[in-house]
Amino acid sequence: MENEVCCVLLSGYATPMAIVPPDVTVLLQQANHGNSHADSQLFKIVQQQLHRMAEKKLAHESPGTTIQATILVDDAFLQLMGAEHSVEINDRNHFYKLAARAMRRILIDRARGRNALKRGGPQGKRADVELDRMSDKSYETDILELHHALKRLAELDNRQAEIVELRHFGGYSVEETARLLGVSTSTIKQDFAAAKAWLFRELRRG
Amino acid sequence: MPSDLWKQIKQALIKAMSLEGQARADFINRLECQSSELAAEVRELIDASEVAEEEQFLGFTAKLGELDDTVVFNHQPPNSTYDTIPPSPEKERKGPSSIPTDSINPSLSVSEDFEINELLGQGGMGVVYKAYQHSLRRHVALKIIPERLMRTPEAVARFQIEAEAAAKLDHPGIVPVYEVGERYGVHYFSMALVEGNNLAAYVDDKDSRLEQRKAAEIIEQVCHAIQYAHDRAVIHRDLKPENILLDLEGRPRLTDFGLAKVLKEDEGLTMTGQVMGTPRYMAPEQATGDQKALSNRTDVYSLGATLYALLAGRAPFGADTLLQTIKQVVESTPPSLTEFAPNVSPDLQTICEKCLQKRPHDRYDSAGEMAADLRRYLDGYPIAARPMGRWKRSYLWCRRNPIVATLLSVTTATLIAATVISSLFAFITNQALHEANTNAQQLREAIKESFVFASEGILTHEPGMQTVRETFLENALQYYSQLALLTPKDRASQQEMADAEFMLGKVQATLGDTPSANASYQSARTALQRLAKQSPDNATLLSKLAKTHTELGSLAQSQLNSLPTKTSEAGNLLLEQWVEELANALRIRQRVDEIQPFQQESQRLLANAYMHLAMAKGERGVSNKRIEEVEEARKLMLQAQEIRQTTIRQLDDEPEIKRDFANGFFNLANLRSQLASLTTHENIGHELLLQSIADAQQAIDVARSLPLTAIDFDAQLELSNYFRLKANIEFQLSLLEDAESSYQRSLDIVEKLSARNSHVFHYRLRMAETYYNLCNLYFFQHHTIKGLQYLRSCRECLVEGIRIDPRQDKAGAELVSFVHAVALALAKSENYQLALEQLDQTIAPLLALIEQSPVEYSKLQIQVKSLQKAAEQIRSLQQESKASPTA
Repeated sequence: MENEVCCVLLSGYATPMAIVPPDVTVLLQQANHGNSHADSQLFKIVQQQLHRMAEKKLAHESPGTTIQATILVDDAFLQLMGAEHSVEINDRNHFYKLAARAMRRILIDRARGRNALKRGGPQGKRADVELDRMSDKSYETDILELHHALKRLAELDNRQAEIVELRHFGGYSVEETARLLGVSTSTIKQDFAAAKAWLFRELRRG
Repeated sequence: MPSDLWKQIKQALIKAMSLEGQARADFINRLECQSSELAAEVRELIDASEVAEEEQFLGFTAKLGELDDTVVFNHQPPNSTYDTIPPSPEKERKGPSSIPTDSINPSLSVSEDFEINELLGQGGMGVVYKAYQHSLRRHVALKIIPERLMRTPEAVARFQIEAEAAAKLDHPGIVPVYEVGERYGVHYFSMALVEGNNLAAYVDDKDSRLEQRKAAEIIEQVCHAIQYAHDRAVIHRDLKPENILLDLEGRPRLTDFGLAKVLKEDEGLTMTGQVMGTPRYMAPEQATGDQKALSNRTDVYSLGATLYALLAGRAPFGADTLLQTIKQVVESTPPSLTEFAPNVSPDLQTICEKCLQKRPHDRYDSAGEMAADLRRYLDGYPIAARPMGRWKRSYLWCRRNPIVATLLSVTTATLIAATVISSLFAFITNQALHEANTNAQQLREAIKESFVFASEGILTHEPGMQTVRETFLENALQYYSQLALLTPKDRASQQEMADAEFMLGKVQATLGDTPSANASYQSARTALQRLAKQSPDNATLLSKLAKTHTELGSLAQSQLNSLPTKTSEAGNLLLEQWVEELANALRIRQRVDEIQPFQQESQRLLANAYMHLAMAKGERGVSNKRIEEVEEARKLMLQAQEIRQTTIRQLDDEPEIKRDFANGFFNLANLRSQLASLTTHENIGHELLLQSIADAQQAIDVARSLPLTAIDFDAQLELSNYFRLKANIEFQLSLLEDAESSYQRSLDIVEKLSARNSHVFHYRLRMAETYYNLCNLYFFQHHTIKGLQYLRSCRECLVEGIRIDPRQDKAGAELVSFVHAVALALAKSENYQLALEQLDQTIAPLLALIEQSPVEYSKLQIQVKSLQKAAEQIRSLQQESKASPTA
């Protein structure tokens, strides 16, 4: 599924599609009940929305600006679902998980796009939004390397990888992550600390 | 690496991370013995984690401290917080001391003439000692007001009335008052010392129950004494077996006109609508606080109730809780006397029934008439009273009676509970407490129930409830400190003691005694932590522990708010304490939620825990200018809202949660506007402010959707706060028209509140502040005249507040700062004359107050001085500008 959405973004923000399809909540429901088609459709929508909002927010800012990922996600949720709060809590959790995944994807795509640019992309193209700065403090980390290491971690311990995704890419707090995954906060903290040690070693090994 | 192996490594790694120094080294060495591969991995990863930490790898770092912290609950490692608590020391309570029941109060050396011998008893309004009067060489009973009750002028006044009323009475059936005095601020009076028991002894003790004719004779004599008092316009109002002494010759002697109401001089004290008396012997009109309905017949009712108790061995009414007792008094028919005394004479039964009628007019017209009927019975003549058909009539009447409706309204019920308890303390502290029998247990429950009921806001702002509340709290304080003083063997259980400590803390906090409250809460916390350690899955216990943490947090918060500068070291410490306690509370609430998920009440409390922590973190973030922390606070707040949203959706109509929900939006709006003030980007700030307005609007909408029954004074005040916050932000965004209308709506509400409760200082302050806001708004738009009008309202409102209660320092301080600010602004725009006028118009009424009562308003001198100083400043500016007209 990841491959499907891989290249959506590059064309996505050039020709934005309708931002608020009326059936987003329905899609969310279906996705949460295991409909993978709905899930990938929703994923695209969320990703576009996040990107569009990030771009808009950063449009007038200087390049070094950072945005808190979660503010973006909260607002995306509100804009996509409307403020009427008619979304089931489980669906809502699903949305937040999905959004973290989308943020991860956005950052990876940006990194890839920039690498391609470095290798000689179209001249004069604006260095767009520094989206990969959104994961605030850790922009020193190579996003792509992290992405691959995270995939390897998922094979060892899927939950740990998921926690990193939510905490790091989604920007969710320990408590939020605990709620999303339905485990205790201490588990989140322990798993995240262990995962961090492991990932760091992986990245340093190169 | 296979995932099984990783699981093993991970476990060992987590364990190692939770350890430090030597303990960690030891642990890894032990691993070495198991598997060197495993140990090597753990070593490598620990190193990696330390470097990762330094380099802030992945931004959000779960610090090791945090890890320790959360491990506590599941595993309780040796150094968990539970173990650091020292083993419970025997309490050396420093809280406000209550009257010792077994020793002599040292303050009584007050009068050299009296030598205190022993404590005879104590009641709500005083303590009675046996004393020897040297000058007249006689033993007397000396009654004094405990010092703790001396704080309110009202209590002193009531004491004096009591003494005066009693001193006027000269009747063999009434204990004579010899002397009323005051020495070193201690009020006392001496009475004849009556050796013997009071009638309660004959009610409680089955073996010494009086024979029915004897009981009738005694009550007949009491009736005569009461009639005598009634003839002199004194109603006893607190007649009960305890207040009737039986001297050694067997003659009844009435005492304790403590609640006597001097019919001719009843202004002032009764304004507060206080209800006094012991509910079990109290007439329904007294129970509902209907001052106007009190009459001679109120005492007739109590006489009948006392007779009933002497015959039956129990009061006509008495339920598990006070509120239930009152309800019975007002609505129910007392059990037939024959249930308890099968051989009771039908005549006596009829006489009791006649007295215990709900409607005053159905009782005997006077105590004298009752005495006459008792005499007829004793002499074998037919009595005048006719059987009533077993109270049926009155019961039916009662069902239609407006009193019942009144009772059902929350306010009245609270009022009754609060005041009735005050008079009950006499009874409790005397005997029941030390016996720890079931009776005491019930009372304890009742007191707790009513205290919680009464202290949680409702009573605070109700019209005329301030003095009642104070009296009540003083009594509660006494009760709980006595409970806490009990020796260990008397303690029913550790948990009960923890409860008492908690309640004591709560009363102390409500009375503003922060250090004592802190100490009480801390011992409650210690005890609860110990108990929670024994049964870690006990949700009730954990919930109490969380509550204690929350209270400790809000104590820190209120201390912080009362500091002159929050940025001091002390301020920082309090801020940390505040956050820490609430973080603990949240952690425990989460645990409770895990133990018993989806419970409405624990969901509500969980949401509140999130919200409180969010408020604390928001404050800390703002104070340290750390935008991340404010952002974190915002998220916590959102979580609180989400929980509430879910709960509201599950339940159709839950006003309490809805109110929390509105409050959550309000706090969210606050946080967003704080975020806006911290952010350096104008656009983001602007957007945040817009969102903040939307949040405030949501708060307003939710608050307005509350059902009418849920809208009390507090809810209205909250609504006005929402409008005011909204207005402030609109003002910030230059949405002047919106701001004006929002301020006006906020003002409308507090004006109404304050008009109905002119003595509630809180409302007045809020009103003055809103006037000032509007004044600012108009100045901003250059509507100087309109602005000054509002400044004038603000000034008048605050001056009136100071006049009513000189103790309210805040009014003076605000007045000065508001007027000063406006005067300076006017001076800056060279309107010197106008500026000086403002200052003069403020100084004048303050000086008038000082002149009127220099002692009471002495503090105002400071305010006047600073205003005069400001006036001088402006005058010199004026001179300067005249000197250099070119400037």
